[in-house]
Amino acid sequence: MALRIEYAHPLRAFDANVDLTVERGETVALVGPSGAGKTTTLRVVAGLLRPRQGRVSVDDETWLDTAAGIDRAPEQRRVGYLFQEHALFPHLDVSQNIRFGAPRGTSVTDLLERFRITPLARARVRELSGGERQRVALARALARRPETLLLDEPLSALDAHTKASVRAELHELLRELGLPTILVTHDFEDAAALADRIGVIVDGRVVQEGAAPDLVSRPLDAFVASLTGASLLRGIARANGSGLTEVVLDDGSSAWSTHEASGRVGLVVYPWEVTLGRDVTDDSSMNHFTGVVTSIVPVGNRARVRVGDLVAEISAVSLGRLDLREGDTIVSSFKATAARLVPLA
Amino acid sequence: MALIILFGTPAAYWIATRGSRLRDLLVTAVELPLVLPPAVAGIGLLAAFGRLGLLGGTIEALGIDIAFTKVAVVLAVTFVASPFYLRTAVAAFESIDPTLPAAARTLGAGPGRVFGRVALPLAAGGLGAGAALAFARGIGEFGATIMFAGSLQGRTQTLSLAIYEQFDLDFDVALAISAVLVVVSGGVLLSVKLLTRWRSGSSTPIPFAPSTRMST
Repeated sequence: MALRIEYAHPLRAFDANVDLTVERGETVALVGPSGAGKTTTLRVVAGLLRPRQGRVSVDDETWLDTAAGIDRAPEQRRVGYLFQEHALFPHLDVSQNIRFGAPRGTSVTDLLERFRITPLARARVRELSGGERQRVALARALARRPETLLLDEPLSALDAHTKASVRAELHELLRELGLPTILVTHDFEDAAALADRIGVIVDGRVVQEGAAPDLVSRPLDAFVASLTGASLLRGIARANGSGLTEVVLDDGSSAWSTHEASGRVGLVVYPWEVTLGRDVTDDSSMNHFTGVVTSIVPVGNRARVRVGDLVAEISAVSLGRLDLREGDTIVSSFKATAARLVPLA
Repeated sequence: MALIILFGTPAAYWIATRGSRLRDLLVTAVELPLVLPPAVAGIGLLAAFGRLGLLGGTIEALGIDIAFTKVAVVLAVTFVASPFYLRTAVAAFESIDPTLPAAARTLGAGPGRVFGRVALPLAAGGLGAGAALAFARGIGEFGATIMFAGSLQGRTQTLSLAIYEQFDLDFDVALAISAVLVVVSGGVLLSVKLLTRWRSGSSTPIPFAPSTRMST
């Protein structure tokens, strides 16, 4: 079972032009800034938006073909659509919500049990927490026995505490279901955790597509790099006799990279490749920048430390050992091999 | 009243789900009786349905006489009161979060089922309020009725018309009818308030109430 989408549709500032195939059991995440056409893609698949031109098919069943004049109504396409704010019916209780889309003979009791919401069966929607709403919405979407799953920002309505556990549950569920799934998110980390493949969508176009590690190691442009969490330094690259590329950064300092490039470039470096020290160390790192710590954000057993334009991710233990405080002057270092170069427009 | 609700509800839903330009045009048409002086409405109805009116000849040929009959009262009241219901109903349908009907569609509900099981219950509070307004306006209808249906006792005399007539004859009777109307109107208003409160208590989310129980 594969879901094939191909459509062109004018949006406010640009034309969305998406061509995407999602295999059975595969989850593809569409990541990008808001208004890039992510939700538009889901609406086209669900039949809530008729694109100016396009095709949508699941296996050999065609749901939409503007050229052939085929356009199935949303209720005749078997999609499980998880809306951003869940779109639960406020006038119905939990089990009525789930029963709404269920074909005759569906056991709502089983679904309630499966999503561990049996005690909430009679509860009204507004009495539910974010995580509970999420589970009810998923149960309702699955009661329809969909052939494809569309998830619109499934984790954005949750607080950070609930998010981690819901993400794990969702990952488990997606694997179990084995449906072609499109997931829309603006969070690269969520996409990397849930999806097999990530499509970065900007201004209505998929600019880069691949597994999460590929996007991290070979970002095609500055946007993809920043999306994956990298720091970006801007400058002019020129080849240096030593086989390295020298990048004269906009603030006048120089950085070194083993990647080849020339002209205006972005120097991409990931937080986990940046080390921090009180003094310039005599190690293999070629790039050292002295700067002031502007923020320290603890993330579990790690901390993200912002020094000028760079972000370093260090362990909580190292943070304690260095006794870092905001406002301290510190040296951040990274190797020339860790400095990826991407062309800047 | 039943006429207004029966035809007004689907019409309002239809208007509420149209594109913006067509919607504006329709709403304007619906609101016309609101701004029309009742006397003009009465003349208009006479001109349309009266014995010498535009459609009068056709209707008369069918053996039906409308002007100065009970049907005329119903027509006049409907004409004048329906905008109150329609306006509120359109607003009630438009205030429904558009993702809810969309979600219902993706869950396999056709347009009819979306209307019956999602739009109607969600708009019920607004529809009730609109019906009460229309009822209140209809019960007090005077101008258009007296022009189009006259004030024939036992046939086309409404309570409001009776008050006017009794005002000249017997002030006490006029007062008594007025008292009845006060009670009826008050009762309608009260029952609508109770109905909307009961509904919001059981289903519709109350604004400003915490919508999620956040575990912190």
